[in-house]
Amino acid sequence: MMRQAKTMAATAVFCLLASAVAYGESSPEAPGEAQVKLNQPIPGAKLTVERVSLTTPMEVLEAGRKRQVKEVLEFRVTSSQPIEARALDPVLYVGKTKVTDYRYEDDGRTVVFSLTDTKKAQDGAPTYVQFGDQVSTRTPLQKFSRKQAKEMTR
Amino acid sequence: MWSWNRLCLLVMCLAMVCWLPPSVAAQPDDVTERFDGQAFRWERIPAPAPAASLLDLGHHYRVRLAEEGKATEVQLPVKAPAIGAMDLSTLRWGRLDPETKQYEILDVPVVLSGKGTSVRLAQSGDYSLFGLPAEPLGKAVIGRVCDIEGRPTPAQIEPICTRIYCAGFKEIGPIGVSGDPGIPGMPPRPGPGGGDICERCMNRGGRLPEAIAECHLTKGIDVGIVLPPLFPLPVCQVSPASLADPSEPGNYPVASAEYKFVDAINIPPNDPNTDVWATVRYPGAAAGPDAAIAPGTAKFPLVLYLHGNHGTVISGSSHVCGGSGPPVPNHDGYNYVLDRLASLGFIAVSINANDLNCKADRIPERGKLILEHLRRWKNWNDPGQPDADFGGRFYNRVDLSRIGLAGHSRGGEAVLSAYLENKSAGLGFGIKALHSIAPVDFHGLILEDVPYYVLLPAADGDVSGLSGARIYDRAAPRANPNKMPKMQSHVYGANHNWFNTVWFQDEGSPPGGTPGRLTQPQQQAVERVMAVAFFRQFLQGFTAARGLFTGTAAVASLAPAEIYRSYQDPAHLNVDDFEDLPANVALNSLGGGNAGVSLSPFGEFSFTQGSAFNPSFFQQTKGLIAGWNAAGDQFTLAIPASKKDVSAYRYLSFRITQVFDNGAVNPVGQDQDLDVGLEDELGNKIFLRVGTYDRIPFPYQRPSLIKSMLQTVRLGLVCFSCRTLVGVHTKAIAKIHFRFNRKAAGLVGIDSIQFTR
Repeated sequence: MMRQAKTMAATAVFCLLASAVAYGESSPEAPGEAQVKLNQPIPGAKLTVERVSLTTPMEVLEAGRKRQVKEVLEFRVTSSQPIEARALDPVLYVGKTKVTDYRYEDDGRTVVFSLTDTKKAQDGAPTYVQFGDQVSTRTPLQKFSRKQAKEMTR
Repeated sequence: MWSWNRLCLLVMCLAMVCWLPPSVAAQPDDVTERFDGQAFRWERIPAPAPAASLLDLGHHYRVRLAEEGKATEVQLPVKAPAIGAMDLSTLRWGRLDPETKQYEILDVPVVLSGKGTSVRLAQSGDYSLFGLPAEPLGKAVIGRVCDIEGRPTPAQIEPICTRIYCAGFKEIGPIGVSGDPGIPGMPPRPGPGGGDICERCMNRGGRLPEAIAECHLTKGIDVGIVLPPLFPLPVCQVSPASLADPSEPGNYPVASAEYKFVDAINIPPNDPNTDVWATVRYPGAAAGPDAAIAPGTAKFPLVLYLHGNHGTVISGSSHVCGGSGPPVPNHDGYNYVLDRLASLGFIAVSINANDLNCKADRIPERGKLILEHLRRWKNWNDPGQPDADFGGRFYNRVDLSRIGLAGHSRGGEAVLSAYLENKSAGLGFGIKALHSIAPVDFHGLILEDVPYYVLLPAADGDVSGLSGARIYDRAAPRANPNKMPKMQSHVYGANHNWFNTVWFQDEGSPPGGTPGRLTQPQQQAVERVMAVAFFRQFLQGFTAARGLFTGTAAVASLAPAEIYRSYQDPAHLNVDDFEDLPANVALNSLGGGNAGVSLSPFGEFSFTQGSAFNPSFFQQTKGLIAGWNAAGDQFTLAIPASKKDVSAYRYLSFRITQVFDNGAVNPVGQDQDLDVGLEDELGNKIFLRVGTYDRIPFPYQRPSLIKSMLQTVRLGLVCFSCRTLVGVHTKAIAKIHFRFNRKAAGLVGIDSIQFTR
């Protein structure tokens, strides 16, 4: 009994400690020569949003169905440094909506995320970008405001 | 239901009643006593003159038969260490001819039993027990004794084993081979239930020149001795054997070429203008660019490498996406492997996939790009196809039935995609081996029938979840587990980038230069040695380096890398994979019962992120979590009788990891250790200390994302009989024990308990 109690206590301590451990690589690492900071938020990241009206409708496949799209929302995330191309894809979250379609701009510091189902972007939703499921890279951005989105035609 | 023991007991009784003469059964054991039987009498006599060419075992008797000429079977009690040293098939009784003073060998076999030896005699006279060494004594003599640590009490064993060699000679001490420094005489017997048999074995230099004698358990009254061939002998290997580097340059001069077809293919849906671009190394008539291929008609296996997602444009000291500047030669980063492969008789290719970089996913597209390269190699091999690219250089020299694919990062998953599409679309390329370096796992692909080797860099700062571990876990799935070997190297201190020489930046965690981190050349040595060993094994049939994957071999050039392996052989018996639905820790995969003694926690858990025992697990399997804090805590798996014969296998294998608990139970930085035991139906039980054979290391320490990562430990079945040579009966295994007695406390994850080749 005593032993079991000790074990349970040890387990409890362990669980507490384990839950306290940051599994998201949040602790900054010491700089090293040619060290790439892949595990951290994108430095100096800023978000601008554009509502792009398409002169030629685009056909997209959503949930196995083809659909004509006349407007897309483009979320431009710009960093003060080149955004590394790496194994894990950058992902933009607008509230609970996950935007995975992206392209790099030629400056290498801008990633543009495209959302074709624009209704999924809730006005006022918090946004952030991260790489894959790597929580340590989560980079908070401005809240999404449909009103502030620039209108474009392409 | 008749148990084996009861059946054997019955057989024994029949034997005693029907086969042995009553007088014989009553013989005393002690040879120093005189005995007057009803039909004969005998007495021990001094040794007669030595007989040339016969091994005098020192048993000489004068037998007086009551009626000359009437054959009588007598049993003479024998206790002699020398018998334990003999090949028993050579034992004969010899009769001294009173006239010639020479021994004639009686043409009757010596029957050994627990009480002595029997022989049918027809004349009174002097008899001696001889061995007939068929070979020089140094080879023929084997040490053999049946003194099994942890054996049952005599009361339990006698009724069963009276006539079994093991029991009958349990009092005989082992006799060593002449010159064996490990057996200076009669070694002390170990205490019951304790000790570490194989450590003693190791003290003998790990050398076991002896054959294994097994009790024959199935032949009723003929129970006797089964003698396997004396040589070669199974060896209990305690530490890895040193091996020559399998990636040392071979004899072929390394020739090189490059091909680049700009915007050559359309990969739907979104990559219409993709280059077909690669660098090639091949066995040449001479070294250098575009040299002729090596003379002869030999066809060379083909290996293709594919890099992962990375910047495509060189901008200052950075590799970026977009803009103007020279392209990043991402594909040139594996030439250090390609060169070695070519020198050893491979055509080795590395593909550039810049057109698929800096874009989301593109795993299927990368797979299609690989297949496009294979299509072109098929044409370049075909003399019926015009070849404006190489002028027929590779006609009939590419063995498209022996193709290996290797990929790094996204390329590491793309090789799976290519393999599966080749299979599903019936393209017919003979892809026989897949290798991934730090792969992503975007699509959850499952391999079922191709040798797979994945390298996981523990300091990976990019694929920091080590997704390749999930690919390994899913491969050879439960429903179809016996069609492929799978191998994994978990390399402490290695980062994601440095397996590619072009990806010079260190994203590793902790940063480079920290103790325990490997340098770029050290990382590349790991990839070079392991990848070359892998492809040589599965494309060229070179099996000498197989031990690098199973743990029986080591190569000096891998140092100082700490590599923890996982390996699953296609030939295995799954004792427990802990995948029960619903979870039932009390039942193993064979249907036997599991029991934990004083373990807490003790249960089946997912080892997958999000639903695991704790957040340190990044795998895709279920396993046992067991914690202990006192000696005597145990986990035992019962083997059903229908599965008890594991003699076709060579190892007891299991996966194990320390559970990272931030030092709460497992001390930071220290190895764990425990004993693993096998128990047979007779109750013979032998434990091995895992730490003698392998390590259960503390998880790789990085600033965060510390992982509990399973590794495979394989214990040779021969080791479970190593000190006394007659160990647990592998034809009748009843239980597997995990005895947590080497450390005061601990918390481990265990999975994939198997008997295996």
